[in-house]
Amino acid sequence: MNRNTIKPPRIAARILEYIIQKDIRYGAMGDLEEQFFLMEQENGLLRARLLYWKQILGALPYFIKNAILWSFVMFKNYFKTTFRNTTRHKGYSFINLAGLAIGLACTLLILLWVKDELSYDRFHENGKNIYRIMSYGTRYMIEGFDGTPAPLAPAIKAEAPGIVNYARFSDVPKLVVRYGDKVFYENRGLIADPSIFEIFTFPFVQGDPQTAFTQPLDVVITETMAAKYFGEENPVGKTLEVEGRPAAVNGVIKDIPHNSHIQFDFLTSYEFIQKVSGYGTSWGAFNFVTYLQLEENRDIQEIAKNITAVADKNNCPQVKDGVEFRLQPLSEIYLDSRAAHRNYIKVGDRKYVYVFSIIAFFVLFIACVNFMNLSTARSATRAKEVGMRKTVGASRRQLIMQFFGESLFLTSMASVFALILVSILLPAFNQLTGKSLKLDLIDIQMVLGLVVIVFLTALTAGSYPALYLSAFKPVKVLKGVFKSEGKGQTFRRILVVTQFSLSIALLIGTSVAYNQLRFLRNAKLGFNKENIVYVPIKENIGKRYDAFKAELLNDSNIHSVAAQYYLFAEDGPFRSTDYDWEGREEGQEQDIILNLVDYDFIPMLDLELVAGRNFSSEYATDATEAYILNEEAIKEMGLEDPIGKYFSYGKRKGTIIGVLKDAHFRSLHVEIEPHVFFYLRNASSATQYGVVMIKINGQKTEEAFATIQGTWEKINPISPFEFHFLDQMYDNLYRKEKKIGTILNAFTLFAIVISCLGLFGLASFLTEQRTNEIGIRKVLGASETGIAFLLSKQFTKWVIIANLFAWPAAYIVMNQWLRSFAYRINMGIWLFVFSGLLAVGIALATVSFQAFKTARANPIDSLRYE
Amino acid sequence: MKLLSRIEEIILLSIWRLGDRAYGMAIREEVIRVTGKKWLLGAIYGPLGRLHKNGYVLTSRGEPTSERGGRSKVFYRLSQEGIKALREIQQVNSIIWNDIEELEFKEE
Repeated sequence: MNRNTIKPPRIAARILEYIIQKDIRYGAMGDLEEQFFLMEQENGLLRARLLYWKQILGALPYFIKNAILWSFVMFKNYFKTTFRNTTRHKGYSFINLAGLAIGLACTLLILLWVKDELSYDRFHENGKNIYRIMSYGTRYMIEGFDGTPAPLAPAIKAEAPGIVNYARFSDVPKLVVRYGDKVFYENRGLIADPSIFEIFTFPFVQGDPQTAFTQPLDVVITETMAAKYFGEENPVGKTLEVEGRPAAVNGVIKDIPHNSHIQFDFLTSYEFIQKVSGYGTSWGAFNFVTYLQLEENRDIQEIAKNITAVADKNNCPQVKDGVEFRLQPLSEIYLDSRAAHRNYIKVGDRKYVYVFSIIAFFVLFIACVNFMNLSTARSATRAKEVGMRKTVGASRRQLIMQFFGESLFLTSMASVFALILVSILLPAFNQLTGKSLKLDLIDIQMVLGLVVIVFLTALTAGSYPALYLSAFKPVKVLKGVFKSEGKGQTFRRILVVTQFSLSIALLIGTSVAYNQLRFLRNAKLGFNKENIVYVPIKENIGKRYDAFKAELLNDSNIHSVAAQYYLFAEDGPFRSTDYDWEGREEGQEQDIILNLVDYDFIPMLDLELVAGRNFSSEYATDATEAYILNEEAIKEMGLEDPIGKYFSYGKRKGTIIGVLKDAHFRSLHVEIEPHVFFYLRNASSATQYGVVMIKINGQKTEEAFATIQGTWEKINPISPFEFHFLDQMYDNLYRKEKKIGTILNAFTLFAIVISCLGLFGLASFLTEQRTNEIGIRKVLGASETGIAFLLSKQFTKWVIIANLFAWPAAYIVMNQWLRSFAYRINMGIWLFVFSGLLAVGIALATVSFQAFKTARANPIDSLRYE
Repeated sequence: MKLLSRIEEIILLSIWRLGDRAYGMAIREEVIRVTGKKWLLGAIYGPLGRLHKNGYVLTSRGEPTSERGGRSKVFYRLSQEGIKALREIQQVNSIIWNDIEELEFKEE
C-alpha cells in the first residue's frame, strides 16, 4: 500500500493541532501518525482511524482544561491590570467612561428613533405587493404627487393585467359627530373603498369587513373611538349622527398602530363621496390616492406604463398633456416627505433619518477619539508594563488582545451607564420627537444591536492604542528612554482636529438652523396675523352666519369678523385652472389658488391693495361678479392694467376689481403663488372647511373670548365650541423644523461636551508631563499668564485648524437643507466665524483652566516632581 | 521545588530507562508496561509537555521517517533539573516507605 495516500483523519489531526501546546506539538503529531501506520498495518485502516480519533478525543479534556486554566489565569491578570489602571487614574477613567457613556447614550437614542422611523408599515400581510400610484408631469409641476382621478383604479383593474385589488382614499373634513349627549369634532376620518380591509391588515374586533358598508353613510370605527362614544355599550348596530345625518356603525377595528402611515379613527366607504362630499370624480380631478395590490413578482415599470396607457385611452386630460403614473412601494411611502398634505397620512423624512444616523456616528466617534487620545497620550505610564510583559514572553498578539479586552471592558461599563442615561433621557426625548419610544431590553434586535455597537466602539476606540502600545520595544522602554513623542503625537493632533471639525460643523449647523427658524417666525408675511382667532363654520354657524357676526360685533372688544371658505394658510389649498380672462391666449392655462371670503377679510388682515378696491356691499354686483387677484396672478396671466377687465371662474363671469400686494399666505417652504378671491355669498356652503376669523382686542382677550363662546353657545348650542389662534397655526407650519432643530441642538451640545472632556483630559496630561519645564521657566522669570498662554496655545491652534475643515463641510450640508425653503437666510460668514470662535472659546476655557492651575503652582513643587 | 506527580515520575523514569530510544511512542509503551494500564498518547503528552515546560526534559530530533508523515522523531532525555527532581522524589519515596515493612490487607 502506498504510504503517501494513507493519512490519519484530517479533522482529528486539525483538532489536535489546534489544542495541543506548541512546544510538544511537533513530536506528538509525529508519534500519533507513526502509531496510526503501525495500527493500519496490523489491524487495517478502520481500526487505525478509530484509534487515532480515540487518542485525540481522549486527550481533549486534558488540553481543554489546560487551555482554560491558562487563559483564565491571564484573564485574571488582565482584569486586575485594567482595574488597577482604572482606579489609579480616576480622572482619566472618568473622562473615558463619561465620554463613551454619553456617546453611546446619544447613539442609542438616535438609533431608537431611526429604528422607529424605519418600522413603518411593516405589519401588513400583503405589504410587499402594495403600491401607491404617484403622478409625475412637468407641465403641471407635479413631481411625485399622490393624487389620481377616481375612475382610474376600476379602469386599470379591468384593463391592465397584474392588479389584484385596489383601494381609493380621500380625506374627510373635520366633522361633528354626535351620539346621545356626546358631541365631538372628528378630524381623523378617511373615505376609502371597502377593499382597504382586503389589501391592508387592519383587523376587525367586531363586525365583518364583507358587510361593513351597505349604506353610503355606514362607518367603521376604531376601538378608541368606540369607547369615546359608546363606553361599555356594544357599538355595532348603533347609529352615530355625522353632520346631522345618521351613520350606522357596522364594525369596530383595532386601533391603527402608531407605525402606520395611514391614520384614521373612522372610515366611511367610497359611496360617501357621491352622496355627501363635493369631490369631483371625473378623469380630470386628481382627488384620490390609489393603492394597488399587485400579483407577486410583477414588473412594476410595466404595470405603471399600462396604467398611464389606460388613463390616456380614457382621455384623462392631464395624461393627454403629459402626466404619467408611477408606482411607489408601500415600504417607501412613510419616508417620502412630498405628500404631507392629507390629514390621514403621516409622513417622516428620509433625509432626517440619514442626517441623524450620521450625527449618531459622529458623536460616538468623538467619544472613541477621546479614548484613543488619552490611551496613547498616557502610553508612557503603560510602556513599562508592556516592556515587562514582552520580556517574560508575551507575544504581540496577546498584548493586542489585552488592550482590546481593556477597551471592551471599559466600553461595556460605559454601555451600562449609557443605558441608565437613556432611560433617564427617554421621556424628554420622546417629548422632543413626539414619539413614544421604549428601551426594550427583551427585544432581540435591540440587544443584538447594542452588542454590535459596543463591540464596534471597543474596536474603534481600542484599535490604535492596542497597535501602538503593543509595538513598544522592551529594551527601549525598560531602559527608560521612552518618550511619548513622535508618531503618536501627530496622530493625536489629527484626532483632535477631526474631533473639533465635527463639533464645529455641528455647531454651525445648529446656528444656521436656529437662524432660519427665527427668520421664518419673524418673517414679514405681508399681512397681520396678530390677535386673530378662528372658529369652524359648523351647523348653525353657517346657517345663521349674519346673526353670529352681528352679535359678536356688539362687543367693542371684537374688532371685526370675516368668514372664508377654507383657512387660506392651510396646506392643500383649492386649486383650479378653469379660468378665462381678457386677452388670454389660445391654450393658455393658469393654475390659481382660489378662496371665497367676505367683505371684512382684506381689512382684517391689513392686506394691501396695490390697485382697485375691496369687495363692498355698496356694489350689488360684487357678490356675484367681482374678483380680486394678487400681483403674482396678474403677472402670470400677463395682464396689463387689470382693473375692470373681464375674468371668469367656470361659469361665474365677472370683472377684476382689485389687485392685492403679494403676501405669504402659505408656508415659507413654497414661493408665492397666484391667488384669486371672490365673495362668499352663503356661509352655510362652507361647513366642510370654512372658518370664521375674529379679530379681537389684544388687551382684553379674556372678555373677547367670553363673548365669542357666549355667542357660539347662543347661536349654535348643538356643536362643541373650539377656537384657535392664527399666529399659532403659522408657527405650526414649521413644527417639524422646530423639532429637528431642538434635537440637533441637544446632540450638538453632547458632541461639544464630549470633545471638551477629551481635550481637558489631554491638556491636563500633557501639561503634567511638562511640569518640570514649567518649573524651570518660572524660576527663570516667566510670568503666570505667559505660561498659561504657552500651554493653551498648542491646543487652540488645533481647534483653529479644525475650523478649516468644518466650514466647507457645514456650508455644503446646510446649503442643501436651506434649499428646502423657498425663503431662506443667507449663510453669512459671521455665522461661521461666530461658531468657530465659540468653539475656540470653549476649548480655550477648557484648556486654560488646567494651564492656569499648572502655571500658578509653586516651582519648587514642580521641580521636585520627577 | 514542587514534587513530581506520580505520572511525571513514571514518565521521567521511562525516559531514563529508554536512554537514546526515548520518543513518544516508546515512552507510552514503557509506561503501559510498568503500570499495566492502557494509556492514551494524549495522556502521556499532557504531563510530558509540562515536564518540558519546566525544563526537566530536553528534546532532540532524529531523521524524518515516512511512517511519521515526513516528521522527525522527537527524542526526550533528562536534563540536570530532571535528574535532580527524580532524586528528590526517590528520597521522598524511600522515606515514606521506610518504616513500612509489610503492607498487608488485614481484615479486622
